[in-house]
Amino acid sequence: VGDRRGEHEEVADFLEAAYKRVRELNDDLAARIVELGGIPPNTPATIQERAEVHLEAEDLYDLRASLDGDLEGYGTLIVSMREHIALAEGLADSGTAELLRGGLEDLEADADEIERFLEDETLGRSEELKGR
Amino acid sequence: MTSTPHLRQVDDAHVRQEWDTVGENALRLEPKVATQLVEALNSEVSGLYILFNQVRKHYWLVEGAESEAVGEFLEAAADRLSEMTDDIAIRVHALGGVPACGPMGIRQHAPLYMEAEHRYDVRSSLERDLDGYATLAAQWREHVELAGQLGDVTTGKLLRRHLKTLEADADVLARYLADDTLHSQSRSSP
Repeated sequence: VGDRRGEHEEVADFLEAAYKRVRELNDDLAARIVELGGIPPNTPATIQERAEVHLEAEDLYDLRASLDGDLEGYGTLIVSMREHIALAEGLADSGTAELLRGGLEDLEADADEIERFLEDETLGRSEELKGR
Repeated sequence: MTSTPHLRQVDDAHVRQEWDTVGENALRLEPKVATQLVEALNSEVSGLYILFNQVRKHYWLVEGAESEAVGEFLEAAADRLSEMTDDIAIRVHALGGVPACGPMGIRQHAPLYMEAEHRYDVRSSLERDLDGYATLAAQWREHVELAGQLGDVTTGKLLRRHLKTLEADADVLARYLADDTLHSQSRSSP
C-alpha cells in the first residue's frame, strides 16, 4: 500500500506541475495573439472549434487510460507546434517561432515523462487492485 | 447519446466512476450527506472555473501603461482562483464525487453566466469580474452554513478560508472601479 501511495503521489505531483506548464505556455501564446492583433479563443465553443486535442468526458477513468489520453494530447500538440514553427519561420515571424520552440521543448519533456510512467508495469497492476 | 466529436473516445471498461454519481467515502460521512456536499462543492468548482477563465481572459486582453497594475493583479487573482479550484476538487473526490471538469458538467452546475468570446472595454470587464466574485461569495456563505448543518467541519473550514481570499480580491476590483482614471480611459476607447 505504501508503494502504491508513493507512486500515486509522484504521478499527481508531476501532473500538477505539468498542467501549470501548459497553462503558462497558453498564457504566453495568448499574449502573442494579442500582440498580433487577435483575440485568443476563450470560451468552450471557440476552443472546441479550433482545438485538435480531444477533450476527455466528465467521468473518472483509471489512471492508465487517463495518462494515455494525456500523452495523446501532448503528441497532437507537439506535431501541430512543429508545423507552426515552420510556418512562423516561413513568414519571417521569428518572435512567434522562438516562443513555439521554447514551448515545444517543454511539451516534449513532459510527454517523455508520461511515457515513462506508462512503461511502468506497477501502474497497471495497482490500478487493477484499486478497480475492485 | 448526443454527438460529441470533440471528445476523446475511451473504452467504457476504463471508467472507474461515472460523472454525477457519488460513491463511498472514507470520511464516515453518510452517503446522503456526502451527496449533498458534492453537489454544493461542484457548483463551487464550476463557478470557479468560469470566473478563472474570465479573469484570465481579462488579464490577456487588458492593455495600456495604466493597466499594467490591473493586468498583474488579474494574473495573480486567476492563480488564486485556480488554487481554490484544486483544493475544492480534491475535497469533492474525498467525499466520493467526481469534480466538475468539462464544459458539460460546468454548465450543469455553474452559478455564473459565461462572458461571450469578444473583447470588451476594461471597465465593464472588471465589473463582470466583480459581479462573479460577489455571486460566488454569496453562494459560499450559504454552503459554509450547509456544511455546518451537515456536520462536515473540514469542508466548512476550507470554504471559509477561501471565502476570505474571494472577498479580498473583490475588494481590490471594487477599488479599481472606484478609480476615475479607469473610467475616463475606458470611455475614450471605442
